[in-house]
Amino acid sequence: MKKLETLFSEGTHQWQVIARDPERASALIDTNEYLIAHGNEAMLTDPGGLEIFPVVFSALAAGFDPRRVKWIFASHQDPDVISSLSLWLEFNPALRCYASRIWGSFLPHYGGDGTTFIGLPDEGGKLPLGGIELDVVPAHYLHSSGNFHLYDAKARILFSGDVGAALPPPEEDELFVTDFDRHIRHAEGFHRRFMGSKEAVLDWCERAAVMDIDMLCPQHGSIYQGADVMRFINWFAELEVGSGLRATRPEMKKAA
Amino acid sequence: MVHKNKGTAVRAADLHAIVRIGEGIRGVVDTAREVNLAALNAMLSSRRGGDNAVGFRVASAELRGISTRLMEAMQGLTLLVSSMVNEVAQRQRKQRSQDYFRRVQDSEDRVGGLLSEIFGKQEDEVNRLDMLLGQSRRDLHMKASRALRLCDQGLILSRSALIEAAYGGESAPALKQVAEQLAQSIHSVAETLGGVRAELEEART
Ligand SMILES: [Fe+2]
Ligand SMILES: [Fe+2]
Repeated sequence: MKKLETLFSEGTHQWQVIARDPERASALIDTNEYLIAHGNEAMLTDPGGLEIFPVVFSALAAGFDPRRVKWIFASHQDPDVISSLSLWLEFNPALRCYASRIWGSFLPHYGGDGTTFIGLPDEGGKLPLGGIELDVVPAHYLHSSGNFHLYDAKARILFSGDVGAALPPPEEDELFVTDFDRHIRHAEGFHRRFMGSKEAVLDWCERAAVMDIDMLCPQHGSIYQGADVMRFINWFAELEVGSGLRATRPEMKKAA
Repeated sequence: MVHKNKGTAVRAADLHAIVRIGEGIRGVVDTAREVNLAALNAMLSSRRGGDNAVGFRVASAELRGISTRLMEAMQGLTLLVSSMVNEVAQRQRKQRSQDYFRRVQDSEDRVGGLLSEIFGKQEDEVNRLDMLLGQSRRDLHMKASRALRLCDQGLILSRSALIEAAYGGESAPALKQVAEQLAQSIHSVAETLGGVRAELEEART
């Protein structure tokens, strides 16, 4: 069973995470859904796949009025990110979903219509939420070609989608990273394979390095906090990515 | 309250049954086209039988007309089947989302209230689709019955063609063969349409 845990709380401004689901069907990757609330409004990041909707909705509703969720932020178009959309819309047809504008005609395959989606321009921008603004941070090609992260300067939290994602074994699956070196082993294979562009990695690292970040919150695996945030950025900047390409050419594999 | 749509409606909505009906209709169209060609050939070859084969020629022309009407009727059936496929798909999607919402655990009373509102809406939508499907099914049944009556006429005509073939002089054996073939084809169309109608009646019980 998933459950709602608070990451940041200051007045009506809150970040909560719906995390850890030991009972999930094993074929499904575990996902973190973040709830950002300010004033009367709330936004849900990467609400997840169709199959996990019942547990996400149950966990959310157990601690928060789901009718306050006005916005969905989809970092990219993957099924584990947003295939539950039709069910969220069934609950609240007025929900609006932010995503890269390049997915404008793809995402309606999951549900919704012309009024559901708000296409984000490549350069990102600001999203209003109950009187404050959140920053949409471009993270294209990490791994999706239309990909965004979400930064909250007030809470100093960066939602980083698949960047920072890890697939740890159940016994090491914890809400926060406690041992960076041990944790990052479970992130390495995923980043090498899923992130295809070194240029994109460095561009993102440059952006992230100048942000004031207390917590780096990925869509899968543990949350990085404090010094581990910079550790992660440095580790990522050094990483050789695009391993899928080398796997198809043994001679390149040797060289790497 | 959310479990009442089992049994009849679910069976009626069976996509497989509709696919089988669609296949049957395609089969009828193919056979009707064969009948049409065979009847045309019969008309032409009866010319060789001269005045003696006039009766045969008339029966063949009538048969040709019937096969054309059958093909036209199948167009209407095909349209109905494709709208049924659409209705069934919508219905399945709605039922699937009902299943997901049923799996939500309402630990809070207010959630229970929100959910029952959703269940109510979903139920209305499923009922609406059930009604549409029922209507389509009845239309289809009616059209299939009408087509079956055409087949009956066709069978009578092919019997007259067989009788008339005997007067075809030296072409008589050839005409007889054609008449038999026509009768057989119409018989197979009637059998397929009977199957389609039975499938629809099955879905209704
Ligand atoms: Fe992804
Ligand atoms: Fe993901």
